[in-house]
Amino acid sequence: MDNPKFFVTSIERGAYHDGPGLRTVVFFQGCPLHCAWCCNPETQPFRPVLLHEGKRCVACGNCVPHCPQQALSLREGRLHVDRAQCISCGRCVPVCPGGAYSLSSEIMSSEEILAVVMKDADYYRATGGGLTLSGGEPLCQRGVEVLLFQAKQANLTTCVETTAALSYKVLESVLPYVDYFYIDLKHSDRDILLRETGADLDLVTSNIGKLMDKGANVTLRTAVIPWYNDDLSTLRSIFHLALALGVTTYVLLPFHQLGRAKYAKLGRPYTLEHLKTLTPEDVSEAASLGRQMGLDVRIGG
Amino acid sequence: MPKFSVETPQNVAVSIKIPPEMSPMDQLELMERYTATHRAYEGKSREEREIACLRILYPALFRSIEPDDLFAGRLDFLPIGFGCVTSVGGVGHYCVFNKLTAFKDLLPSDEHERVDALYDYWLEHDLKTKYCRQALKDDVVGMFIDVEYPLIVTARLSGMMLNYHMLMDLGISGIRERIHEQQEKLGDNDFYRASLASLELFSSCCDHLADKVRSDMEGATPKRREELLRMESALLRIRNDRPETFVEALQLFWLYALLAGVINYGRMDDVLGPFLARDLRTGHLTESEAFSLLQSLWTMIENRRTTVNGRIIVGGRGRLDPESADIFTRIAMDVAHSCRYVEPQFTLRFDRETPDDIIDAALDAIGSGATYPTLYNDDVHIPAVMRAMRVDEKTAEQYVPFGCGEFVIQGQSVGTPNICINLLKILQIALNDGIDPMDGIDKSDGVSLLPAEEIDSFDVLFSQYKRLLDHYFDLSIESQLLSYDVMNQEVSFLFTSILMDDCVERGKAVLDGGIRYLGGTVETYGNINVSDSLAAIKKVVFEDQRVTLSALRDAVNRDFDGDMLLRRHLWEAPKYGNDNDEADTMANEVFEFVANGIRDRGINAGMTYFLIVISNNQLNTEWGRRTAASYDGRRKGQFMNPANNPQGGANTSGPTAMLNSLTRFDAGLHGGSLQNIKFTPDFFNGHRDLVKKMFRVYFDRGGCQLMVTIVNRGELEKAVKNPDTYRDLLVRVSGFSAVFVNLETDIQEELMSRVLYG
Ligand code: SF4
Ligand code: SF4
Repeated sequence: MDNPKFFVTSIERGAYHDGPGLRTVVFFQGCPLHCAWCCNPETQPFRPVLLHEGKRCVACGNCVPHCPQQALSLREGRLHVDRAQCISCGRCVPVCPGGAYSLSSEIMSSEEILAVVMKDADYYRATGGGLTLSGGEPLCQRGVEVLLFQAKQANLTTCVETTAALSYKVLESVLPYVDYFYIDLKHSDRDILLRETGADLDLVTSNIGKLMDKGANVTLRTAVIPWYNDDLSTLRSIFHLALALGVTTYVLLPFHQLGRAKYAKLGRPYTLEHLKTLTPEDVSEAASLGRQMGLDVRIGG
Repeated sequence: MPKFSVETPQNVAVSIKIPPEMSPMDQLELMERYTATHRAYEGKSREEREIACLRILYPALFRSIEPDDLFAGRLDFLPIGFGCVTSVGGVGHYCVFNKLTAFKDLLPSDEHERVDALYDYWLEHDLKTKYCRQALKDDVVGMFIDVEYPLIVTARLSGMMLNYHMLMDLGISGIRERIHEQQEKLGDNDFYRASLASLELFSSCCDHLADKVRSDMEGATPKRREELLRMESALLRIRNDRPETFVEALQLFWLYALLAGVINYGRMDDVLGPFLARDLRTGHLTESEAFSLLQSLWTMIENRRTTVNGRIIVGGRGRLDPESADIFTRIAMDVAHSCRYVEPQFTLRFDRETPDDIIDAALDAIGSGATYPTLYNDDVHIPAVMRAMRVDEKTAEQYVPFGCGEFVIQGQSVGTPNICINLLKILQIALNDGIDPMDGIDKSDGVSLLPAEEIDSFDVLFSQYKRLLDHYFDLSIESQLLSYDVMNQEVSFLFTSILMDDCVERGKAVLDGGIRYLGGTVETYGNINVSDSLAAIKKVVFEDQRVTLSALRDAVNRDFDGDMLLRRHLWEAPKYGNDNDEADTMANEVFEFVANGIRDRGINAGMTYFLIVISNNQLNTEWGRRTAASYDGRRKGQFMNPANNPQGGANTSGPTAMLNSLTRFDAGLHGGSLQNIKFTPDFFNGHRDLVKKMFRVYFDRGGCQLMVTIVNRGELEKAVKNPDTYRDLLVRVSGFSAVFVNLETDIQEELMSRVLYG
């Protein structure tokens, strides 16, 4: 497998939040978890999904006869997508005059991905940047170790944003080719974590511990979510956990609703509308707490 | 004779002018005197006529000195007078007819006849009108700024940046002596005599202003009195002698620039820096006094309201005393940071040797939302200017951008952009049997064109477009040369000529063979709409075969009515600005054809250079309004792509992709190209080190210029109102990025108030 293929949802160039320097972030389709605050919900399923943007739909009905699954219908002047029927074949995408449809991902080979990534090689050299894999869960992609290997061959620094909620074998297989791990530590309470995200805390922490033992460069990140983990006592226990694992680099990500529109495009309800968007100032107390406890805390964008 | 209206506005005036200080009756009388003098000198030499007319205007047009002014010199402009550019007054002996008509309303109706008499006289004598009668061609060549035409032309002498070194080194008396010497050597002529008279006029303006200063001293506070005393003594020195202090040098420069009617100033750090440095060293001035003086200069320039001019350039190679110049630069940077005016267009030239603190100060000023300085990379521009203008390195080091981005060589070249070409309209005409789909008028000017039905390949289409362009390039060079001929017949631009190499040496005015490098420029519009259109046609018609060329033409002519799906396919075709090889290659191919086509014609006509500029002003919007829908998905009447930027922010692949696309063009083929890039404060100010390194890479890769906008709250509000112009505004946080204008309203609001730190 020297040119594996992936479902890539997007490639973001000139990114500056996801690892050192200027980076190109590649987002992959598929994640084992299901966090309600996910800002890229289209990446959660392991297969491409159809997005339909109501704002661009003029309800002309053009698309309806093109669907082999009869998943599309016009009802009371609005287009309806029957998600249960849709098989993401994409036939409706090119026939919509408004450009309302898109499939969440397209297939790209590692060669194609790297061709895009390498366009910014000069910027990586100047800023210490490189390639970041994100998602979804990039480490759930078959062949991701090949992509990372090839990236290292091309002299790129590599960063992986992972849930670490997967078998250590996978982490081990990419370990030689990853310069920076950005791992989400979403909660310190086993039950809450499992209920809200589907992640197994023991698996996550044992993976982090093993990576630390191997000398990996690990940064832990916590998305600070108002009803879920934003109280200082929860954050304190999360920080304790980090310290116990031997990690000192920490990033807090204030909650935002930027991904909300995507839920509508997927025909999924967004359940966190009532929550307040947090500013960097809102999490500054938490950051100082972490610093007092001995962590090197940064507030991320 | 071609049809045209003399009342057409002569430029897109964005800023509102300060009304004249004189009463309307006094203005009328002055214009009558001017007109009578002009009439009386019929049959005399143009030089005699010019100086006689100038004596009517000056010092009469000087306004009062404002209480905050730290040096003297504010001028009014009337609808009739003398000048060299359209932004202040007009060109040569001019009448701005629409302003004269409007002026009538300020007078009692029994005086209207007097205005009508002036109007009638100038219909026959206004320089620009004379030019238009010869240059315009019905349906094909229009006057500035009649946007119904694919090509618009004017007569003007824009962008003159004078040799102020000569002025500082010699002073008025020294220049006078030099003229005397040349008179002895080459023999006397009208030009020399009139030049000497011009210098005399300069001195009497100094005296006149000194009188004003003295009368202001009555009742002034002790502090103001001191300032006025300083002003007075500066005026009395520079009326004849070389300046010794910074204040004197500043006063000399400013007054001369005013009388020459120039509105771009050039390398002020090079000219004034040594005076400033010496005064600071000797304690003659404090830093804060220097700051106030420069601030006063900024205000004076702003108050002239020349819309897209007022260039002050600092930094870069080829300055006589870089260290002193940088002292000026640093203070100017602070002033730009604090003033936030639209003008001066403050410009930083830099190269790899530029001190880091100056680069940092520039980025700080930009980051604070000042939009200036605009950044020009000498490492790219100097070799590029050598090739583009065919000059040696020492000469190229004196390149300066003026107005909307055109280059001249300071003190040595004429490079006025008297032609504007709408490349997109010409593409539409090429695809419609010569008819402009906007108004149904044939604008092929006799070039034979295949109908779209008979164009069976992309190459045939492209070469048909090129053929029509070639014809319009021929018209461009003819019109530019004609503008020089007509101006030269009428006037000598005396004050300008005196300070331009080698007029005094040769005893000739700028356009009479005096100027060392006779250049010129053509402003091109719609370049990216054209290349994106061609890329889209190539893909949608010839590769994907979604529609025939003729059906595409018809759908686009209907402004996509009933064919929005086609529009979407055109819009989704590769677009320049995304580091997409297909789109960028097409953009470059169009660029090279246009740039070479214009440049070669200049060389063949014996000019030193004739170059395209891809400029940044309002004309892309004005002309877009009268340009039909295009094949890149742009709607009828929508603005065309601004500067060298993608249409409507079609660049959504982030800054590195945009910057890579920008470096595709060979700077050695154009005479200036502007590019804007937008940043959120979060990125630009929060990650300055990264931004700085990113710019370094861009400039190392051949990036020539950048104009940076920081998207503050005000910009975001504009984005909400005009989403089409802000599609390239990306919002990024960790693990997420989106186009701002695509977000939901409440989220946009949230971002405005918080995340972007607006
Ligand atoms: S074709 Fe597009 S615009 Fe028309 S109904 Fe379907 S989604 Fe809506
Ligand atoms: S993606 Fe295919 S199955 Fe789904 S709605 Fe569109 S046409 Fe139907």
